[in-house]
Amino acid sequence: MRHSNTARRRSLCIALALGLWPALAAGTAIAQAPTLAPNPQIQVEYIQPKHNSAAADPNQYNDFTTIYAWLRVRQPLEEIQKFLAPLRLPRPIKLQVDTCGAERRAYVSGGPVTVCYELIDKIEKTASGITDGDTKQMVIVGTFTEVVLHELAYAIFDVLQVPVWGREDDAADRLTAFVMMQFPENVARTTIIGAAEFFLVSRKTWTGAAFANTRSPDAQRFYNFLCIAYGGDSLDFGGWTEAQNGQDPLLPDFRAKQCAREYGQVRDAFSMRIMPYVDPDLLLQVKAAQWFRQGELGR
Amino acid sequence: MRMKWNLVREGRSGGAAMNLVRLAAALTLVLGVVAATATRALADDCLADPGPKYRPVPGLQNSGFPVCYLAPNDANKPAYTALQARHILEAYSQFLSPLHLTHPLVLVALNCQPNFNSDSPFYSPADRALHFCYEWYRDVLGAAPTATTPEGVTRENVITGMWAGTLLHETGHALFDMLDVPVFGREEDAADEVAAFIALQFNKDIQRTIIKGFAYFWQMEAKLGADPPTANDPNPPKDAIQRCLNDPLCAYSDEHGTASQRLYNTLCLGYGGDPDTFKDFVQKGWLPKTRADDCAREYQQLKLAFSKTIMPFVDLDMMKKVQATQWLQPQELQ
Repeated sequence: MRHSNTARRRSLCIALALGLWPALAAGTAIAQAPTLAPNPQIQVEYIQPKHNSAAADPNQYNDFTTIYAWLRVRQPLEEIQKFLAPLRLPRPIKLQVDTCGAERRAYVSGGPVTVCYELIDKIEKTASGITDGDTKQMVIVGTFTEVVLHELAYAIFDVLQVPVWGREDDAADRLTAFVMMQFPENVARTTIIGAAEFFLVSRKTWTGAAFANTRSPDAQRFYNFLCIAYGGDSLDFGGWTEAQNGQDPLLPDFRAKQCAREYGQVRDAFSMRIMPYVDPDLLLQVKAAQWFRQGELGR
Repeated sequence: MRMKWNLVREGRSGGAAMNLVRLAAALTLVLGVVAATATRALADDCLADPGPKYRPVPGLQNSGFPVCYLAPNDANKPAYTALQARHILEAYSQFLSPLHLTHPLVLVALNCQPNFNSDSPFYSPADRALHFCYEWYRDVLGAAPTATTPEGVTRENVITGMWAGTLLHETGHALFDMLDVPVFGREEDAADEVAAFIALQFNKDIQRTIIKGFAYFWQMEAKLGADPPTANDPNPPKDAIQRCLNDPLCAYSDEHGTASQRLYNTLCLGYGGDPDTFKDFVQKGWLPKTRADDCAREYQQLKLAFSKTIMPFVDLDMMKKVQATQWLQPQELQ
């Protein structure tokens, strides 16, 4: 196989190698919880897992219970409440983790944003198959962050009545990748590469009516994340456009040439339709804060 | 026959991505350099109207959409004659007349080969022009089915749907560029949405003709192998772009959706916009029920986006006249 997952993983990490010194600097940073006040319009809840007798995996409930216990200790949604402190919302958004019976539960206007135990479980199981410890860590942290931001994007589009051109799920992906790119290199790299790696390893073959799905294939999402990242920072992520070990570049030239424009398009859309609801002073505090804890970010 | 388009990619034969690259280079070299004088130079080269006199629709005059037929080469003379006789540029100029853009959008019919290596219409931001390729006329005739399909799509559906779909799609790119429209999703899908949404603002005959024709076009593309391959190519081509498009992963790097995605998006917006007119899409199994359930929501989201970002630039009185005008001739309708 010309493009094996292993080869891809190696290629993805080229970006890390190219930006080694800031990564080392980040590794020695003293992690501290952001002191920002949580956004009062964001409500969070971890709903206790429900037993599903129809689940294919009989151990699923136990796995979910373990995740539930971890969430209550780590409190990632409370961190999201702080992360979203600058966003002035006209009405509350509830963000919850729940048992869905599927990997995702579609957002319904006015309803809660749900992250499913099933998807968190899939992230963990996918990551467990990755041998490189650093990549494994990035997949867990990056994909969890991607899932929360992606699902929240639906609610933000709804609550702020944002005009969404293009397929909404792709719009949520592009907004998520754009937000990830606003943070220091170690955070941007961990979240972008972690999420992209997850798409890469969990992708499936699509044919025929599968393409009727409102959501895009993981392979497409993989390239959309790469493109927004490269478009936003061609220096840090430039390794993706270079041929390595006789293989074609991870991000093909004809797409790479479009990426600065694609990134600029999302940035302009954000400036026009979301920034009016963002407190600029609090935004700087969010950008300056240390997100994630020591050991959670990739090297 | 395989075609060369910039709107659509050619799947495994891999020409469209190359088209984009070559087009970008050509635009930079040819149009970018002379952009300031392009419109004037273009006007000097426009052919005088040799055909029957065009009778404009009253009340739909807007100098913001100047038209120009450039001289066809020998191969494109039949296309020029047919398009000129149909007054396609003049009619499309009037069709767009309710739009008040910040700059003129030039409508130009021209030989797109070999300078642009494209057969399909395209918007050129460098000179703010919508290019109607003469080559597209021949390609559309070649692509349309000779008999009505099981889904009830006629040859005329496809011919009209391909023309209308591609022109409206490229008009979408022009609007996004000239009106600074915020586009959160993928622009290529968004341009397809513009095409479908505008088509759906007309009477049922026009709606069905354009939506069905455009959808069939994507279905045909998918059947011809334009969706990404599912297995590795044992003999990867030497050309890097073709090698990518033949690869089960790399083929997804295209900025366009797959042919099948574009098929279902088009069907979905039709059904979501008017479930009664398009209920046969679901009844015949063309649009899967699982997607159909979401289509009304998708259409409403598109309507909101159009209302917020494009409608402020539309003259409502002129728009009503455009909606009341029969733009398609009886033989062009389904």
